[in-house]
Amino acid sequence: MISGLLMFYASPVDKYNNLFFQAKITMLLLAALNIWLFLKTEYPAITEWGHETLPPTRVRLAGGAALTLWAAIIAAGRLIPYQQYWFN
Amino acid sequence: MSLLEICHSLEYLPVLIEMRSSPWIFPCIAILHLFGLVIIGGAVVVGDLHLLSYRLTPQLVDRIANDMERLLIIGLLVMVVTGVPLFMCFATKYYYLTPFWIKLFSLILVVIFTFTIRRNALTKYRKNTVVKKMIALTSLSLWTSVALSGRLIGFP
Repeated sequence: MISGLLMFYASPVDKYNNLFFQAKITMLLLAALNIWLFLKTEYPAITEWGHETLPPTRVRLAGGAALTLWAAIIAAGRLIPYQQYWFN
Repeated sequence: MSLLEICHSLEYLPVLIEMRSSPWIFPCIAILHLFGLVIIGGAVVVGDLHLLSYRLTPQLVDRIANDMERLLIIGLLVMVVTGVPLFMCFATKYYYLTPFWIKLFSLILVVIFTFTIRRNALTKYRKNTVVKKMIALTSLSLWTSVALSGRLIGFP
């Protein structure tokens, strides 16, 4: 967060107008929401499913969503410099 | 034929010229390359922090080391398979970049270290905390060198 804020501060207007940056921040918020929902709904019952070989579907869905969102966040972050080639 | 001439001829292969002229092939391969580094990063951080006694899970060191190696191999495969075409795209430029050579040298060193010294030492000295910490610190330093020099390649 600290390093990200510093990088944003280096060129806030450019970043704000960058589609990939906007997508990255949106997905970052979704990833945070996913973790919050997981901690609120599934995690309190971890003693019930923690030792099972296959966790419940909702837990696996939360894990899948986290992996997908973080992969997309990395991809969007890597594409930030390409906005000028693709869209301008 | 010198190394520079080899780099030059690699860069001007028809498929590489095509790749450079496409606005999306290079960034897509670069994203996959980053995924490889992230997989390696996750495996290394979990494995080495475990050796440094910062345990995320109460599992045995052996079990963590095995899981880590499996992920590491997957990450390395992704990184090498995507890294070769990325290098070939701008081979002449990379030839003159010191961070590229530091990255390559660190990568070779850390791969040799992980699959020889690290693997043997963890079997031989599984109860020796000092050895385990030294292994973890060496591994973390070498991987940090790979990541940092890789990032520096992108700067003019």
